[in-house]
Amino acid sequence: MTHLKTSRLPAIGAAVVYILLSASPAHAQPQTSDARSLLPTLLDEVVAQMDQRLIDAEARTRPLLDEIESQIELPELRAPAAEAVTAYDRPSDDGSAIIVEWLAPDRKAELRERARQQAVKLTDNPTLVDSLAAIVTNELFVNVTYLVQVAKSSEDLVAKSPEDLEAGLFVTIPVTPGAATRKSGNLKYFGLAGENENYCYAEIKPAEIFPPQGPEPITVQQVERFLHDGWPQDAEPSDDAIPVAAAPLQPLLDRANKGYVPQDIRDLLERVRLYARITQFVDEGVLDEEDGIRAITILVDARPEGQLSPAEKADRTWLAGVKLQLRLDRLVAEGFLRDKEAARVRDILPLADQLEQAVAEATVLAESAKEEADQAEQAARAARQAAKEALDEADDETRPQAAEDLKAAVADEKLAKAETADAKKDLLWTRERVRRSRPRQERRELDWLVRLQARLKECDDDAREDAEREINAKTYYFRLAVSEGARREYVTVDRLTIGDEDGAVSVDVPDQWLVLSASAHANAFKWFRTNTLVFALVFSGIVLCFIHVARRNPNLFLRKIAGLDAVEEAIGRATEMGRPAFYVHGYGGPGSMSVIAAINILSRVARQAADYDTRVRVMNLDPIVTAVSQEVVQQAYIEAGRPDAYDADDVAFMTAEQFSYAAAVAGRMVRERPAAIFLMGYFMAESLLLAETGASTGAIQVAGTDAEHQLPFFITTCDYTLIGEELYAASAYLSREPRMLGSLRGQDVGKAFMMVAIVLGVIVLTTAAFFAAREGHVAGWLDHLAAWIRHLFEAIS
Amino acid sequence: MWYKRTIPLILVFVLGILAFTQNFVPHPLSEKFLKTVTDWSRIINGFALFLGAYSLLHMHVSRIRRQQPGWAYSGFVFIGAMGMIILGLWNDGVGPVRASPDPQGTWFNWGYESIQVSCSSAMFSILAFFMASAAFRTFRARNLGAALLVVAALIVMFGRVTISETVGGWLGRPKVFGDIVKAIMDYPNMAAKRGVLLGIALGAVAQSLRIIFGIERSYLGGGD
Repeated sequence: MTHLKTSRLPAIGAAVVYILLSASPAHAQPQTSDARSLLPTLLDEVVAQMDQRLIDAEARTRPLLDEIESQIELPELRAPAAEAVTAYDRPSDDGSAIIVEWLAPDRKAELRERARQQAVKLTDNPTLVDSLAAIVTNELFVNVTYLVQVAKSSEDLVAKSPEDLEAGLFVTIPVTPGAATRKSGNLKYFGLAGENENYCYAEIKPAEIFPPQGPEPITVQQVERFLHDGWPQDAEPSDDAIPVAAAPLQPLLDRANKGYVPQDIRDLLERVRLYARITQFVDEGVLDEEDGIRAITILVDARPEGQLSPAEKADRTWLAGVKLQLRLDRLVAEGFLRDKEAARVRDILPLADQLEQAVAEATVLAESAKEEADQAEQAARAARQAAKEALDEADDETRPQAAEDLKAAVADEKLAKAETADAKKDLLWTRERVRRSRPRQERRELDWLVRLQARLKECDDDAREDAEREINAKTYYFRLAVSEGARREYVTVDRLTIGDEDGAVSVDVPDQWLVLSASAHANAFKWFRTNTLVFALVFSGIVLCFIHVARRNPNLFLRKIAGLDAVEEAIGRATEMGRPAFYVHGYGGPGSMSVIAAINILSRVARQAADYDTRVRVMNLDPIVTAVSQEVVQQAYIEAGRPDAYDADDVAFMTAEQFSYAAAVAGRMVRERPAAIFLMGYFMAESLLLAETGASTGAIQVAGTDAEHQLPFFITTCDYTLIGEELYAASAYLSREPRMLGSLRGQDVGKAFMMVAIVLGVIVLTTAAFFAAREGHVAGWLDHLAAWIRHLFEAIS
Repeated sequence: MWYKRTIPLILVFVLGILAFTQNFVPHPLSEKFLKTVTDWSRIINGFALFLGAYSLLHMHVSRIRRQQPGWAYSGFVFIGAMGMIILGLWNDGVGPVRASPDPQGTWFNWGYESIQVSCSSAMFSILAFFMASAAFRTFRARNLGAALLVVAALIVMFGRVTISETVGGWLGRPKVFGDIVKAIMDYPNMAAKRGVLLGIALGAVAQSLRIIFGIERSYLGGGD
């Protein structure tokens, strides 16, 4: 209702009058239903009117649109020009990707222009021309798909006939022009600028397309044996097996061994490989025949994990154990396991299988119990609803009994809900419950096996990463086609260069497919972070320069920071009152810049406190920060000549939990009533809990943080607040050491530079936007300058 | 002094430069360096927890031994810590029950869920009251700046609740207060926040330089 315009208020007023009238005894309709139905009726009328306007507009423009669409010639399907297609190593990366990039014809703009030309012939109204052109473009435009074909060998791409091509000695990656693909990987665009939208971009990750394969190629004999005797008598072949059975075997295996098959076929062939190994081990007597048949039965089932019953999941886990068993000898030979450990694995695997079977049985029972509990809950809910309805309809005589029934039904429903919750929890924890029911020694053995498998997986992951790096480093070959429906146009060239650099010969080859090659390299520098590096170096140079200047001229002027001037005042106050000062580090760990800054400030505060013989109690949330703080405070006491006054208990670890920490510190604030509280470091939600409690004790509070979301809380509740950078400056400010003060001056100069850059940037970008809006174009130099400024300040991850 | 000053300073310099360089180098070796350092950091954190536990227990033992005011509270630390340790170790957290029908209902989990988590939630919920009291103290228009703050805060609060759309509807633009709030948050508020963030970034760089080049040494203890 809040979205209605004021022009509709009279209509709503009329509706209200109607409702009031309808509430009179003369109207038999219940008033509530009228009130509920009238307003939606009015809204429906408004929507209907708007729809009618659209229909009228469509009726007026449809003939024009039909006329344009009958006359217009659609842009033909054409492949990008050969010289506009490039393949290169993805710049500034870890050597895992190649980029194939091409200048994509903007067919949508071309279509819109053609529609405009036709529309101009029908009407003089420029707004209508634009609208018609836009509608026709939307109605007629069909997006094309680019096909990037990737092969390991150029021979696979330079096929002799279309049939060879369709046999697929390459992997095809479809690319649909869109926001994610209309860009360039060229560094001159920094990956982001607007000009790059003329390009289309495909990121090819060789290790994902051609993942590492098993050590030995799959043979026809292995597949034939798999097909012949792999199927158990009572198991139906899965659908995934059909491509293997139907396809000509040798060509398929050739492709598979080169990696040119889809993932599902690859998975299937991987099972063939495992089957071959299982049968080999059965033949050799390593695995008994019963286990071999069970393994094969599990192996032919290609369903995903989510579709399996608990017993089938247990079978999969058992198969993983069998795979481990088959690897044991190799693992011993590689030195990963000792003989004794391999024997231990063999002993534990049956126990693991027993556990999995027990878990499966218990899960079935728990699922059944949960189902029953769900049904009972539904029945109880229905009974409660029925009881409520009975109460609503009850007369005075039956009302007490109905109320009692409802009370009993509510109690039953509550009980049923509790039972459902218990059953759900029971199901969730079935595995753990069964595990705990095993003898302690057995549990230990099973835990050891789990740890071993985790370690093995880690090693396998490392090996896979090495293999992927090797795959990525190879040279790959690319061909590009544009496709619309069944039509396909390849990028072609008329001349080919054959031979090496010394003896290269160009030959005429009309309509030869363009084949590009590239390989990925691990780069030594992230070029797109050049701006960050330049800024970091320039700013570091400025800071170091001012540090040098400060050594010669120590009397640098620095603006006063009230919060830091208050540090001495706060310590003095604590001394006068004979109460301790609290120093609270907050939520950050040792890696946080603000905590490092806070430790630096602690050093100064502790030194002053030691001089004045005042206790400083430091409360930490992180054990490493505790250790560092203890060292810092102890050193401060030593330098003050009072090492005996240092008490290690003054610098204590409170807890590692956020709100427990807040409770512990707040409790000590209330009990010990410190005279001064320093809240320095990184804070989150505990900031206000601490600062408000501190304020209630009457202590003078100085806070400093770089967590900008917490700053308002500190500003509200503390006497002085160090905002962001002031926290970092504090140690230097308090030390008054010339070199440190020099760095502060450098920091200020950096800020001045940023301010000037921001103002200039705003002027240039605003001017560019102004000219673009008024004159439709921007002078080249201004456009370049605006783009350059945008690039300069873009942080790219 | 060599092992307490010079070696740490050399380590800080070398690792500081390496960490800076790592940010610009995408090579797998660089990524491996980062992973190794991160792993080591986790390992050190794990061991440091023993130091933390020692510090905590030592402090509370001292408080009890010296009978400092409020020393009885320290007893709760031992009751809590020892209780949870015993429950955690006793029969894998099940406690005296040999085989619990519901592992989630172990005594150890009960201790964590019903005491620790509940108390943390209670602390967090107190925040709402503290916010109210802090806001009450802040929203007193003592000068022009404070008055502006009050006005902006009231508009933002009002614009965030649904009734503002009804009131805006009476004025002819249901979203008027929402738009004003958006303008306040997107321009003055965001500008101030980014100003603070830029200052923080520059301050962090300056502090890092002071530490990497050994100019700032107070984190090692002492003031020089």
